[in-house]
Amino acid sequence: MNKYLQISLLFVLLCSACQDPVDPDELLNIDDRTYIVGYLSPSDTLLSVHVSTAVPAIGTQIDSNDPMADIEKFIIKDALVIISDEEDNQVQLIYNAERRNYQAPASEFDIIEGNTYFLKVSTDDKEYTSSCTIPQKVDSITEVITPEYEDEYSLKYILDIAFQDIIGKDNFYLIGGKIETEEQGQPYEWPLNFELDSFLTDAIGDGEILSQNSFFSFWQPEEGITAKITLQVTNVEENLYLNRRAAFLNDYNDGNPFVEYSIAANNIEGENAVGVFAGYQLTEKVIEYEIKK
Amino acid sequence: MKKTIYCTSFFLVLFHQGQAKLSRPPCKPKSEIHKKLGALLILKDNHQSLDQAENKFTISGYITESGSGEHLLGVSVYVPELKLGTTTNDYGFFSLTLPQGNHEVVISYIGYGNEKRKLNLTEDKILSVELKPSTENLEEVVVTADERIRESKITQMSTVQIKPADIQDIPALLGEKDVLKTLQLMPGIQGGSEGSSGFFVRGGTPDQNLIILDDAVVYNSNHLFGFFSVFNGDAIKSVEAFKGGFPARFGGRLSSVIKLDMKDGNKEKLSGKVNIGLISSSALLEGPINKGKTSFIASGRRTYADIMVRPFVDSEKGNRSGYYFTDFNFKIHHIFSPKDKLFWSNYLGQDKFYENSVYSDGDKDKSRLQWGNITSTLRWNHQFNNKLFSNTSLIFSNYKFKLLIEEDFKDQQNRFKSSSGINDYTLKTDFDYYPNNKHTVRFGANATRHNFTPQRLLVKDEFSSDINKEQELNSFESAVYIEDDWKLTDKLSLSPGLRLSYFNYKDKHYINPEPRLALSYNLKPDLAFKASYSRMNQYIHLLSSSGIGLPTDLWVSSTDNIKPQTSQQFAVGVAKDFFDKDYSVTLEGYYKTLDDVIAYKEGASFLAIDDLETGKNTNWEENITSGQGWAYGAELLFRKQTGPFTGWLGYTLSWSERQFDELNLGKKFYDRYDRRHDISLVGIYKPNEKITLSGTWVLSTGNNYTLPNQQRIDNPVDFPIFNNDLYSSYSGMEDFTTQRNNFRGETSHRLDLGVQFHKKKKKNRERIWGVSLYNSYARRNPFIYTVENKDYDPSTPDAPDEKELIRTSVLMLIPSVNYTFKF
Repeated sequence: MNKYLQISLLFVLLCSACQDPVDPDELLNIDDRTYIVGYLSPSDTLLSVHVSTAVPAIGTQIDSNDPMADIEKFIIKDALVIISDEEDNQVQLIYNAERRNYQAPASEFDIIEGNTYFLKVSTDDKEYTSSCTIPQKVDSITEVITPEYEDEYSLKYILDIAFQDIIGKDNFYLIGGKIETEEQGQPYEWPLNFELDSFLTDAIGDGEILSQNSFFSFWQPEEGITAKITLQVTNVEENLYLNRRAAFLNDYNDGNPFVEYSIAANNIEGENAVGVFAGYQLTEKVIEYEIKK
Repeated sequence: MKKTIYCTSFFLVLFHQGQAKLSRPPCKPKSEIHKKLGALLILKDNHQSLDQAENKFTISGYITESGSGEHLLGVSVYVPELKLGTTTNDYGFFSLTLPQGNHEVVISYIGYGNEKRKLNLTEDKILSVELKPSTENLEEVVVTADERIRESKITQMSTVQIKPADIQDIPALLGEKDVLKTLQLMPGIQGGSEGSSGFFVRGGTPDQNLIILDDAVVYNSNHLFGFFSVFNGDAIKSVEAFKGGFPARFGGRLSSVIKLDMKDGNKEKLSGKVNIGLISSSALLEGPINKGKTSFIASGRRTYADIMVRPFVDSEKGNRSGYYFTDFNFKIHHIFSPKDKLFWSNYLGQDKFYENSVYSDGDKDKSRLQWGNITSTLRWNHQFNNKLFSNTSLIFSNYKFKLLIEEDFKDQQNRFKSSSGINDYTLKTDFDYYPNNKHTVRFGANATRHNFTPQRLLVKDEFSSDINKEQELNSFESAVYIEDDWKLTDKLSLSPGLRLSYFNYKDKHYINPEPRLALSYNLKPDLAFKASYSRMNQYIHLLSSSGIGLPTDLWVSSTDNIKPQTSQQFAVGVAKDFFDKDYSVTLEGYYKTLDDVIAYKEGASFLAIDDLETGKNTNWEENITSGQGWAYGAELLFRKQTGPFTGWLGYTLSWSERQFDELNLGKKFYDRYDRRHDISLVGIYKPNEKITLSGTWVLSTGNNYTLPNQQRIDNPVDFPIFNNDLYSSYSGMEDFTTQRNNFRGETSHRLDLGVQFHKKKKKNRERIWGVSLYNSYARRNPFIYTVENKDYDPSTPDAPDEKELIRTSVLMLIPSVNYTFKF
């Protein structure tokens, strides 16, 4: 009897699950869209706007051995891209094949804090528009580095950084940084990783001190070395914040069915367009820190 | 606010029209206010004159089941000549005040024979009646005249009752009879994913359903990740679901009340039932401890998949792994006197995954994942007189989730233990007062202390410092209420109610009045128009990423930052009974608004712990965002409840929308379980005593999912912050979508079939073989959709990467067999 029960159970399990590919045509909107991205900052040396086609996630073929060859097909290279300011001063951005973006030197067009800028992209008889306003710059960054852990192989440090929220408006910040060292004549560089904590808002209160921490580790150096640490705080427009946060979260949670997918921001006007045109301000602080046993 | 005014005006107009038919309108022109006041005054005058003209006496008593002494609730006690009647309360008690004289009282209950009693009423009388079951519905007790309180005779709307016998007869997944899955076959109550016992009522969420078993809240009603519910129906006496028009005695949840009552136990003789199924077995035993005075009932169920797979596991060295779930119900009922009764009911249920591994070098590890509910209710019924009845309950309710991992290696010992849970301690008292035949007044109060443990964590690891911490939240919830079922005229009845709820967490106090109103107007004796309004508050919330009833779903309290959820629901409908055929039809429309409903933020993890190694916490409040919702639709239920063929057809047309500032870029979106159409067709046929045939066919529009429908070039312009570059994809492209729930899955449908063979034996014993087929035409209904890379094909090694939409289906063509023996 027990044997029959086991066979029955196995039969039930075999019947109970299967996976099938499904034709998405009638279920999911998979029309191509025009994808436009541009971030403006007074600290830029080049003004850059990207124009390409966003393609269906399902059914689009990309050669993993040479993805750039396929990606090249999605780039829109013959668009007319113009950035203008409130006084109707204009600059046309020219397509740069090497960077796959439309670019113009920042020296030809001033990007100024508090000013609003307008983007116009024309392609295939269609016109897309957007605008952005350059937010205020964070004044200064403070930091505390605390040795946390040491053994015969490695050293670990906790880095706390803090800055004051800009008073009077809702602000969105992205923080980050990088570490550069040189050992035996060889330069090394790697980013400071704040992960999800790199996305900050002033939800705790207007004008509050915002702080976050990260850590960095080294192999025990033979002798003391000096690390050049660059701390970065960007005050960004909300759409830029949402767009980068969504991309980060979707990557971070890839494969986890219990996390809701994050929705990409979109402030591009025009038929079937998607993307972000936004302003930001960068504040950097460079410190030197001696790493020793 | 406008809606409230419209609704109030609507009720006033109806109320006025009802009165206008009762009494001729005054000849002199009056202002609108005077007209309405006039109607009220006329009513008062009529009422006084009737009372003064006639002597009235009260009949009261209990209705019980013949042979077991089980109290029957919801039994109709009706006097056709006067068109007056009532129904028994939750404890089988009724009270009906009638004028002096000769009356014929008809006592009837679906599934039982009718009892008619002729009374010469010259004084208050006690009438206790035993009803005989109508032999499993084979004797069709068709009430051919207006002799019963039916759907069109009650003020309450948006409610459905299910007979435990139906639960036993309807085909079920793997033969596991399931109360909640049977409820999902009713219009307005929608199941979640395929096979799940989680349910969504009128556009609400699973945590907005109040599930109460003998007054105790059951926090997690699921076994095995929602594939089975904790209620198998063996020990259940009645199931009633309220979807709207909530009476004031219920509160604390926004969308529904599922009220389950356990049997009290057979007071006459020892009886029982044993059921052996494919994945579980259950047993029930009930009987008198002191005949006629004290009875007990105990029932238990356990799955045995873990025991069956043991031959396949290398258990010699101590390796053991498996999963099981158990349920255990136990109740004692003691009658101190006809006026004082005590009930003690308990439920204990648990799911457990376990794994013990012993390695060849002597290293060992052990892991446990378990969750479960415990409820215990002590109730005291007291009948003060023939018009006042009370019940006082002391209730304990617990839900706990535990995860344990222990590693015992030669050079190190690690231990990780995490748990979360909730304990409720409740004192509740309810009064039923029957002052005359026009009013049934209920009032009462309750107080609950909630003790939440969102996380208790113990980590012992030789490579890092120990972590031992516990989060704890305590809150207090209470309410007072009063409601009246007021029969204004033969045609018009009104049920106003008010509940005043209070919630306290630390220094935060919430006090919210919750008005309730229901109205019924009989256009014909068998046709009623109904309308209702209810406002609800919910102070505790379930954090759930999946909506399918995972054990990791976490109950949390309203706090300073998380406001209570509130809802308002307006419903209108008609109820029609067909006396000659014993059919009933209800058609209802509803509109519900939801405020301060909560959801996980985009990208938020459902685990309270971000990093298992460091024990770094994510504060659950930071993961939550609140918003609003709208749900509206219509429901049709055509039902036949007596005779050899019973069943129903249910249809739901519905919409459910949400808006959260922090989700979907602040834009409105359709809820995941927004489903336009739901159809359920249920049939149970008993041609003779030896066979029961049953079938259900369900169809529902697909659920909504958020899927990345497009891809774009990854990081196409420079940005100075480096962090995100760490996550650049190898293809240089990233998936994205600009709309939450942008994808509606395919329509689901399936046919379940069942047959039971009954064989009666001596001494009232019975043997039943049951065979069922779940999803009999093997429809591949979607369980989940994912976007995945196409499988690598070795025959075309240079083929480019391509993604495809994958549908995962479960539960196709699942046969089962079970054996039941009753004695």
